[in-house]
Amino acid sequence: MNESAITVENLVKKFEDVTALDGISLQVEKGELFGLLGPNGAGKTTTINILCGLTKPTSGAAKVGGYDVQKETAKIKELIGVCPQETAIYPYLTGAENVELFGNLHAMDKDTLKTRRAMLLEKMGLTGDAKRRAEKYSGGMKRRLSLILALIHDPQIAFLDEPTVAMDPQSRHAVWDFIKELKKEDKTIILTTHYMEEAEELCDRVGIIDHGKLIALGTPQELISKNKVKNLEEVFIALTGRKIREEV
Amino acid sequence: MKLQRVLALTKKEMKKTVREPAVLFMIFLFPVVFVFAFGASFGGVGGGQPVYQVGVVNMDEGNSVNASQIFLTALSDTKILNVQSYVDNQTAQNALSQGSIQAVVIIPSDFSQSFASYQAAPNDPNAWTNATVSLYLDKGSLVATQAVPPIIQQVLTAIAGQSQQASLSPFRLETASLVEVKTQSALDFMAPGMFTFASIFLIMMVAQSFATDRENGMINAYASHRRHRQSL
Repeated sequence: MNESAITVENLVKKFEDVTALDGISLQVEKGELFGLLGPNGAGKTTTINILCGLTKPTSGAAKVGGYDVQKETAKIKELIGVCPQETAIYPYLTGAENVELFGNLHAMDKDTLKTRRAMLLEKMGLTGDAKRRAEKYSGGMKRRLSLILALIHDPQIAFLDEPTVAMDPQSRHAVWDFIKELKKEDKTIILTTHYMEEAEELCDRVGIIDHGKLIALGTPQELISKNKVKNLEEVFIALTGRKIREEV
Repeated sequence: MKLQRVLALTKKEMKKTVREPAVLFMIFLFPVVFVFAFGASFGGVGGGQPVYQVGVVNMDEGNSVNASQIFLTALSDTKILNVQSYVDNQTAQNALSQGSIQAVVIIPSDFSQSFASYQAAPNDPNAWTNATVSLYLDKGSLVATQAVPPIIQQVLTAIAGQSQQASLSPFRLETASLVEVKTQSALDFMAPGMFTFASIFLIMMVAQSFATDRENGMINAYASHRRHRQSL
């Protein structure tokens, strides 16, 4: 647990006159489940995009699996699996065909692909719907399928960008169980969410981002006891004076 | 192993084509509609028969049987050729080079004689006096080089006893000018247009596909893995 899977040093990202990330530094250990928390627009997805090599940082440095995100993106991409915030699936393919397509794009051999596809569909509760076209899926089912696509090739480091957004409690718990199993397999997982209870349930450590700055870093218990509150939601209120999500 | 990725993407595109009716329409029906629409607009559909200007130099010396007159009448009767007479070859050639006519037909001096010999013994080719009708064509006019020689050949065959077989005729048609007559099939004619259409549709569909993929995050999903980008 003392080997760093991800190192971020003073990362800054500016989009014209908007500063999305303002000097973030953190480390994620190998096999750790790290949560990036924050309200919408805090900079969570920008951080993930930089770590995946999709966006270049304005300044600062970051390493994933020991490789520099600006110079060695090709090597990083061999290690990671990304579940983007948007549901990236092909609606005209069935669930099973979507998984098969991504497995083939990862050049997986036929037998491994078949085994992993069956296993992941089963774990995500999609086996019964695997032969239906994805366009007929509910929002939660699409998100679960998207998660399978990100993990079909068994990556060492998984970036899950709000994987449970718009899911019903049942689907959310299925995903939580799945993420816990991934952790048992010693995968490094970076999870972004604005559900504080999700972070509290799953994460070894969390980093709270607000307006592009890392305002807190530690285990959920550390943060709760340090701020003398009952849960992470209250930690955020104590730090910013705002709720992370406005009540609908 | 790259083939595996290419095949996977090809399979995906095939399924898309079959499962999304709009794609089928774009690929198969839209080009057909376009070809007909443009054909009707620019192709002069229903515009009637074209008429070619043909100059004739009649050097026939026949008296008893005026075969050249029969030939000229037959040419005019085709309604495709507008026949104009010229006194000599030079005048006709000048008219051809100026573009006022598209072909020059030279009727030889022994034309009527040949016709008479044919009529005297229609079944004995050895007794015929063969005559050669010379033809000069406008090199610049693709249509003239294609259309005029077969028409004249047909008329020559027709006046020599309605036989459809040119080998049984005492008249021979010779293209005197050095124009190389190139046969052009319907495919040659259509191919450039069809390729252009196909390219336009292909570009449109690929662009649309990319735009959709970008919108729903698929491009990012591809881009977050190097192998995917290579396959694309």
